[in-house]
Amino acid sequence: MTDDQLDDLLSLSRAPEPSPELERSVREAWSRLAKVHDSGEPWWRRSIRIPAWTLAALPVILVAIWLLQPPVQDADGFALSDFKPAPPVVEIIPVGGHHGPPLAR
Amino acid sequence: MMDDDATLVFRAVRGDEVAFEAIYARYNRPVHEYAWRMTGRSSVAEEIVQECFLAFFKLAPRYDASRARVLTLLLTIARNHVVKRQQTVMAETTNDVVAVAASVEEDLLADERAVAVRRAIARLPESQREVLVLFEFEDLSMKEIGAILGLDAGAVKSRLFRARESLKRWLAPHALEVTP
Repeated sequence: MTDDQLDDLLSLSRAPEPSPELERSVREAWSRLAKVHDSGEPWWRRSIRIPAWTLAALPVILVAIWLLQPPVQDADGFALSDFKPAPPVVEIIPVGGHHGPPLAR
Repeated sequence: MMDDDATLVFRAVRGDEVAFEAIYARYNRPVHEYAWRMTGRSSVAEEIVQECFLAFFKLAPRYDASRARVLTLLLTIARNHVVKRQQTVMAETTNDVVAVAASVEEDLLADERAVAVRRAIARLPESQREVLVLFEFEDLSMKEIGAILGLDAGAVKSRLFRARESLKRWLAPHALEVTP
């Protein structure tokens, strides 16, 4: 059999028509969905429902997190706030004429 | 002028009934035909069409026309439903059953050759039948079929070739005479 003959035979095969009830049930399903989609909400709000109080409380939560955070530490584990200013280094310069080793008593 | 798919989907999602009707009219037959040829039963095919359109309209608000045609998307969903059904009702989906189920509906057809063609298609292994149906009856390109089935174009071509060779062998006695 040639390819053309097979194509002719395949063209004889017809699928049955879908019933009118099918369109009705699909339309009902679409209608329900279209109402949901047409509620004016953006899709991301419908997908992720965030309660309004969460959004309102967000600044308070962020400030609380900032206040409660532990002090920043360096690689050795010391908090930066642990470091106090070092005392001034006082160099004692002997005054007088003797500049050699301490005198033996 | 006919609206393009993206416009129709956009309007249908917002409750435009005319747009919904246009989408349904354009695609219900191809999806039904695919489901019917894969399951062999009108009632099952109609359930699949319904589930398919429902799933499509759920996804529709995020539909991106640059990534896939509506038909390709619908057939991908339909194929998932067919596979799911075949996994859950394995006993009912052997090729023999598909052939018998198809034969009941063929009573309406007078043409003996059409009956033979339908039975021959139902006899094909499922992997070859779905490629043949998508190529011959849905007019999809090899690339689109590959996208639906998760195959490369070479595998699609090879399955189509084997399916056609089997059909040629089985349908040889029914070959139409070629008019010069």
